[in-house]
Amino acid sequence: MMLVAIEFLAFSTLLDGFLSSSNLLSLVRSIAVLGILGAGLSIVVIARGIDLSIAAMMAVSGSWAVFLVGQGVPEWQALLIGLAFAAGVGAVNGLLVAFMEIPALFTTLASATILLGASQLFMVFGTVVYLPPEASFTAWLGQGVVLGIPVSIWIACAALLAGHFALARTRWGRFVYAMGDNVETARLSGIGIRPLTVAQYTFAACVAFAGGLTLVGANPTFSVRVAEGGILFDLILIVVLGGVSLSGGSGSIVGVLAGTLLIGIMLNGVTIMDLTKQYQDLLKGVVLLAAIIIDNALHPRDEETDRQSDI
Amino acid sequence: MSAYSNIKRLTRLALASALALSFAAPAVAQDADRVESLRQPYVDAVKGKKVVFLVTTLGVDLTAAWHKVFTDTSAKLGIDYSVRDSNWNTQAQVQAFDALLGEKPDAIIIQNWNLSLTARQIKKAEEEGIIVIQLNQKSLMNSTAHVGVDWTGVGVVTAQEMVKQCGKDSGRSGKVAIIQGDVTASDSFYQMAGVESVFAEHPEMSIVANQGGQWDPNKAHDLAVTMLQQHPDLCAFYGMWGVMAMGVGQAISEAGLKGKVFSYSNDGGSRYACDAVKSGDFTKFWSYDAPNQARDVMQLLTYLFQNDYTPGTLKGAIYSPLQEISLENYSDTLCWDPAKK
Repeated sequence: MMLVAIEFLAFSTLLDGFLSSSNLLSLVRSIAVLGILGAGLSIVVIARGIDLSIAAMMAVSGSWAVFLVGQGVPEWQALLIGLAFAAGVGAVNGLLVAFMEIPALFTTLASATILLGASQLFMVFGTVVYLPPEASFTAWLGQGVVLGIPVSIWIACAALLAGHFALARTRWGRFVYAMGDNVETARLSGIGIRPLTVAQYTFAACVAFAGGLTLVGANPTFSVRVAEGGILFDLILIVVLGGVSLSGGSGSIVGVLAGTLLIGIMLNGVTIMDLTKQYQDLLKGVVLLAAIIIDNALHPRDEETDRQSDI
Repeated sequence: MSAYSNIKRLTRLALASALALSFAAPAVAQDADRVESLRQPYVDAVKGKKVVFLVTTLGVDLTAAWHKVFTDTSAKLGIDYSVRDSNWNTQAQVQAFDALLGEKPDAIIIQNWNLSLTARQIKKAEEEGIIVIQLNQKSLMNSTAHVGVDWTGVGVVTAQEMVKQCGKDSGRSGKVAIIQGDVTASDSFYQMAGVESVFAEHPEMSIVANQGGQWDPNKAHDLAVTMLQQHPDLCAFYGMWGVMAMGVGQAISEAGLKGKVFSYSNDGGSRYACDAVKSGDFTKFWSYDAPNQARDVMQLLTYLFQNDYTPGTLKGAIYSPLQEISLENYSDTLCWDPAKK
């Protein structure tokens, strides 16, 4: 949080126009989807998993639902189909990780690739989806404004609050931390590790679907390739910056919110400075590396964590 | 225009390419003077020729429309046509091209990823007797033909329009923002050259922001939002691909600046581009009519096949005519409908 404040102050002083209220609103709006997905991903990472398919899930499930609307399916049905699809694939991810015990890294990397391939071949038949006029609810999610604040920001708040509540206030949340801290101990204390894992990946996928809708609804056109761009990188960045340790067991949604703001402010600042994409990538890479080094220093390997392979 | 009439239109193009040849024509004996002397040589020359299309992705309307015309025309003429889709992966295009050098098709149609990626392969292919037609996105390495847009020219007409609307005596700031697709792609490179050549003579014009949108409407939207914040007196946006630039139009609408900040773009001219002109998301738009570009390619190939052409002996461009579309000349017929999926 302190880093966020420092960065915010630096940009406010150095960059003209950064501090205008409309810039701040547009800043938050452009990172709303990161906040939404960050809420889903952080729960998986806290439990010492990883979901690399979350960006693909976001793009594919959201764009498929909108594509179906364009094909004449009533919007509410299309959205239910999209949600069911996301939940289904998320559950499959979870089942593979929990029951087949395939490392989450490989499972979700593979499912991301499968999702993107299937979307081009069988689902939206291409990489660009057009927002049909009938998809008015989705357009509202992406473009609507309630009480002066974009709907996508409300959804991000809801996702982060739900994540925070689940992690900090429920037994389920404590089990997630226990599992991330030490799977064996958690299992021995009677926590149903496998169903819990399936639930985490399903939750992440459903959150991804919601995030996808806000993104697909935001513009008249949507490129499924968003998933292949830097968004996954940005997500891991915010999760790690948010203090969620990649070796599990620690971190909170409040931290993820801070991480989201940090990245959002940085992305907004570099655009205002008109830096080229190469510089932007360089900057992000350096920040991620620094964050991982700090994470490593704060959570040094010990006998217990060494027994787990890295994600 | 309905999807049905659009399919009809694409089919008509394919038929035109086939010069209305009917292979089912009854084989009746004909008087020598009733035989059109070019017809049989044409049929014989094109039949069985192997043509491969190296495309960046088939996942967008532009390339899907090209592919449809190639497929339909080839089926009618008996051309052995196939496509290698690199699916947004630059390295896949290099590998596919390398593999083709071994297979030796009669012609390769390539939509280049960027100016330099396959330059070596293009040169080698023509040396080995394979005709290389570059479609829309050209390489620094010239080959038999570049069929597609004169990008520098597009940059020039767009910049001239911006000068007209934003320059001296317009009462506006002269500030424009540019969102390129990919800064290494040939279209971006030459459009920028065109813009800069015009602005060089108009010191009142300035490019205040210039970024790559990576062909992504969402990214273009976010860039445009920030640029609008940063330059409240911005006069115009130039988005270098219509599909992507629709995100710019959205950002202008959200800021309540529709009609106050101009938005210019270009692409293959599918229905969505016309919709965006109609809704005011684009102030002016230039279409290069994708189905007709594909027709140009096929016409050129059939001509070369008839003349036992040796690759490397000709070099030149077949520039696609540009159709300007704005509310002033708007008509639904100026755009084509993508085939139903």
